[in-house]
Amino acid sequence: MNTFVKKIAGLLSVGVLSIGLLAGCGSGSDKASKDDNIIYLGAAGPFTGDNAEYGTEWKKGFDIALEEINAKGVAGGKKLQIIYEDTQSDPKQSATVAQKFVKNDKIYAVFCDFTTNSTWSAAPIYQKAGLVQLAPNPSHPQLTKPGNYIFQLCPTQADQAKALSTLAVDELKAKKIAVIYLNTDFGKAVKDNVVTAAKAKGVEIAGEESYLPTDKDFKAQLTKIKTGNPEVIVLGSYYTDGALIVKQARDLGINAQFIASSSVHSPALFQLGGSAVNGLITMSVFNVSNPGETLKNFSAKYSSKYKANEPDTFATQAYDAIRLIANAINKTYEKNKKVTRQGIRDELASTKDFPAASQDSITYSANRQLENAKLYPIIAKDGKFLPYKK
Amino acid sequence: MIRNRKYILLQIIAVAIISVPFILDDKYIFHIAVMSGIYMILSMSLNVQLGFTGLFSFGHAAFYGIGAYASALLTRDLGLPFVAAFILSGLFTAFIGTLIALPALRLKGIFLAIGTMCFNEIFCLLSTNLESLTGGPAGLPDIPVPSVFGLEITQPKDYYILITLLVLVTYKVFDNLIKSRHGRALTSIRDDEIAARAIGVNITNYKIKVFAITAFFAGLSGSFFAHYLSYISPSNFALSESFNLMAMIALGGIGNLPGSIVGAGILVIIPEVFRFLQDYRELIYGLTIVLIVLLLPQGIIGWISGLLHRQQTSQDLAGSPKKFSVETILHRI
Repeated sequence: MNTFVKKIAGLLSVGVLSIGLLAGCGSGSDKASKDDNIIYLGAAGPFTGDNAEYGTEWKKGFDIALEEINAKGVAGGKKLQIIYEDTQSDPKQSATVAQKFVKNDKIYAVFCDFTTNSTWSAAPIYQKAGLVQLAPNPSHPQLTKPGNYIFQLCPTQADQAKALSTLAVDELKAKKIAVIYLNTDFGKAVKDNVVTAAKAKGVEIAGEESYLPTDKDFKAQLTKIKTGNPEVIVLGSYYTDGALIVKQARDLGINAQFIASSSVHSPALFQLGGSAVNGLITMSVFNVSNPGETLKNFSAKYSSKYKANEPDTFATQAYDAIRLIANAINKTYEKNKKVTRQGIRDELASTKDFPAASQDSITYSANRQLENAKLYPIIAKDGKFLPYKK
Repeated sequence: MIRNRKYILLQIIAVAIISVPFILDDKYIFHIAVMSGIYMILSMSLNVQLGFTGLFSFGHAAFYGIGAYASALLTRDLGLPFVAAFILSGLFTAFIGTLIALPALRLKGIFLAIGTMCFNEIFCLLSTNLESLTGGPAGLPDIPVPSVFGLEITQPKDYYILITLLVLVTYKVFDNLIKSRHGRALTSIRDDEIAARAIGVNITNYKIKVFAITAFFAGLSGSFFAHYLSYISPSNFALSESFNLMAMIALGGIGNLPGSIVGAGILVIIPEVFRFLQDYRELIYGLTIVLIVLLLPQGIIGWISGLLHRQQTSQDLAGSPKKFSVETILHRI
């Protein structure tokens, strides 16, 4: 390249940078316009990066909920609107976005984030600012410990482990079980809770193998598990890795029954796993065998809007997240004739028997976690999840 | 004349930096400034290793993490005050740096790069799996708020003042180091090890010292980061973070200390600035970096000073660190 072109191109790239700087400063501060008829909510989640597919499901769930809510209006006819900020579920970016959200006094509540790590790194900031942080997906049993502004929407791993070990021991009558788990806070929590619960029931643990988020080949772990000859293998995985593990296990001639935490409950499991995932039993956070009105309504809207079979856990929880906040906004408005961050927190904390899609009804405990969270066993069969019956 | 102008420019920048907290009160901006500060210290220390001594270390994020974990554990579990934990974590990281340097320095060029990369990976695996010590993948929450001589630091603004001081101290230390006799020894190692040995430079000794001192500053910034966010987890110190630091110094200029400051600042600020692009922000971010590295191999600062001093190029450039660029590195590997 000759020097002239080089110089021009160099100038251009520096130019792009400085234009970006100017544009960023201009648009960043004015995103929430001064329209008093809109109540803004912040959504900090993985909209790009490794977990982007889950963020996409969030958006779908949010959109359906917003259409419903805005048709009626909240707090005396106001509209809800979401400001999206991408964190890639990276703890560092999550904290940055938190600072951005708390300084914007038009934002009344925030959905944050997809993983426990990124939820916790933002937690001190939301707590200090007194802004509700509703985490739709993380299932760490201690998630809400950092402060009284964090709310959890997913049944915790303790709930899941109880259901999974009951399924393995009482229903499937397994004597030996093995666990394969993703080595993150999530997978670890699945493993710890399942192992403790199973041991308490006198079941032998035939193997515990972990893998890293970037792993695509699980043959080493599976071969080791195979030597233990377990009857049931428990997966602490998301659906992308879960599908691969089951597929590779079948290739290796492992015929054990797979059971998995609710994080594999997605139609994408079948696209990735094909017929290999047939017979996998997982937990659904929502009641598939006997869906309530809210879930039926959401499923129908989701299927027609996105031309998909059924919504997954992430979209359903996102849908509920907004409805919970809208409900809290309405209640605090009725009582105080105005909406405040504090008011939303107090009303959200006292949520009781709220009809929801991801659970039949939601009641928040004193720890801001689900009280009496229910999980429903489902079995994967020919591209569909069916209610599991013995 | 030029010296004078430079002096005035520096004064203007200094006044601007100091006056910011008095005019502005935006926690988000201060947060970004604090994060930039943390990365400025990291990239300056990496630059001394790579740009001035020619050691390819891809494990810098591990030192950053060691400092963070050390400081978090010292204050959280042993109840030490912040100032003590801050300095101790720096010293501890320097100690680990020395230990790593001993075997690592038997490796050269790309092999050193691979070795340090593995060190980073080992650190991540340890911090993920030593659950009783590091909290495992869930990390360490509730790291105490720092207090400096009785003053509790809670606002991003206070952190901004602290980190600014720290960046200045780091810059001064490294700048003095580079301009000293020892600095010239380091550059001689970078340019030609055999020649350096021939004129009596104790190469191994210098390399170990460089590892120790750069690890010390990486540890300090780790400690600062841990107390600032009050939560750390292994994913903060993954290998990708080391690559990120590499990109920062390549962007600012390898072997150029002010360049590291600019590079770190830009790479922390750009992803925030491009937020309005929503899903395309990573694309533009990547594209900008590729363009700059491709077209300005001497980094932004190298390019700007090249433009300013075009008339006195030839004799000025000879032997200056600007010659050491991305191209030279790739060539050497």
